[in-house]
Amino acid sequence: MKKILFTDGKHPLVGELAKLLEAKGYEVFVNNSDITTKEGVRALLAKAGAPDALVISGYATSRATLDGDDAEAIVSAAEENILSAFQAAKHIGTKMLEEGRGTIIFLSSIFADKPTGGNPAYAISQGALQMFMRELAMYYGNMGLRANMIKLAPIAAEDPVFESDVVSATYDIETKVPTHLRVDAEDALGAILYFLGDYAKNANGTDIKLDGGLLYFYHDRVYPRTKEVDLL
Amino acid sequence: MSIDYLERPALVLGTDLKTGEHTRLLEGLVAIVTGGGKGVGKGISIRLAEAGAKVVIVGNANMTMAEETCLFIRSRGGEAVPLGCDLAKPESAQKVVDFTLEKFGRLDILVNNAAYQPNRDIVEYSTELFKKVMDINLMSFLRLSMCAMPHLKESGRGRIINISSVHGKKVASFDIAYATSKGGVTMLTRELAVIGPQYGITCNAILPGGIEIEFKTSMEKGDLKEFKSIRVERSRKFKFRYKMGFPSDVGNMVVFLASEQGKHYNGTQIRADGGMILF
Repeated sequence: MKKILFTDGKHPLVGELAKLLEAKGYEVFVNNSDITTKEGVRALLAKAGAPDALVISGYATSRATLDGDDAEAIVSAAEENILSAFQAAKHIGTKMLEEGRGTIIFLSSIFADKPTGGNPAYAISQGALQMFMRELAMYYGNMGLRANMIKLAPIAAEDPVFESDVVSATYDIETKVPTHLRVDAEDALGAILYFLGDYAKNANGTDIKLDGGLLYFYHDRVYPRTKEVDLL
Repeated sequence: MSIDYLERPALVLGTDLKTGEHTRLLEGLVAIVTGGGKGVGKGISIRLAEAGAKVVIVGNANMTMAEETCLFIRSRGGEAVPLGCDLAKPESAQKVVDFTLEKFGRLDILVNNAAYQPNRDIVEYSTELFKKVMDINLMSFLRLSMCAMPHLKESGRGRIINISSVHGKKVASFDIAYATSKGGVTMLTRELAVIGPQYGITCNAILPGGIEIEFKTSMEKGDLKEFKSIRVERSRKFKFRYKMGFPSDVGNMVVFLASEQGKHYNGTQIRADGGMILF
């Protein structure tokens, strides 16, 4: 049976993802302790053991903004995500290498590329982890341990986390998303199962963006929704 | 090896095409340059001063290089003052801004350039060292930008320029923490770019790659020689006449982005690497 370890249970999709994965026969471990230190991650490793898939799901956020006066709130949240990923990749990753198996998946966000305005701490950490993932893909990839990233658009529950009056970080699925669907746990499940499987043997250092096409929306165009078109 | 910081023509004067008047691009403005006493930072400090800005050059506790650069700038008729501090410490950011206001009474341009690059693989990084790289290369940029922001707003034409690296886009392969920090700088730049315009502030990043610097790097001399010879060999193979850039290449772009001529650029990432990452 394959084991999947999520590094942070705070991520809003992890609870549901864990249930979906268990229903498919996976053993799932969700961490809720602090792993920003060597001691913390070693305690987690002792408890959970080396997984087949290490899903780095750090979700420290802060509503402090860059034009406010609470720099330390932003630093603290960004640092938590970055340091916990570092500890997990270093200590759990090397254990996975020893046991000769596994893959590392970063459960991230479109905010690794698109600014939020309302939650810079999270976006800055995801930008950092995008490069961290690529470096891991080269270093660990040479030893048989691939690293990839899933970038999700925010789910409905995340709208208050990222809303901003300077940028459209949240979205109207009727006008801005061609699929007219919000992202959910099943979207992430599909990507995780892909990275776990044999078809992903050459997926290394990549990212899968799941946003229904949102990031390409521009100029407030209202697209036709009818299937009937007048061809020239 | 010595570097010619006056290599390349400088961006100094702007011309108003309606009046024919020539003025120095940054006349009367005040800039902070972290890590401004050596390497790329020195190139930036010199070019800003040549364009008319008064420059606060922030070095580490040993201010020798910051002081030397100030002397060089003053010998050419420019204005610059040195400040030494440890940018890894949270309180340093406000200290830098307060010093600048005390010396020059205003702040218009912030160049976040300080960098620390121990060149380690993930298994070689302790938590403390990894955190130090983040603190200097990313968190100091964030803290300084926030401390500077009220004064950049007051300026009415504030500029934040983050000196990142091609390794914020392309794998460095010799320092995982450095690349991680530069990935964070990419998003910090974009976040500042969306918050800034309401206050007349822009934020852009320059991504240097392959710049000649004279001080001892953390690469051992032998490794550095081999590293450069691999680049030369690669350039011959691909018929690309690769040459290292100069600190003034980055300095000229900083002057442009800081000037009125650069005001429509916001949230961009501009590579200064001779096209190296394309190969």
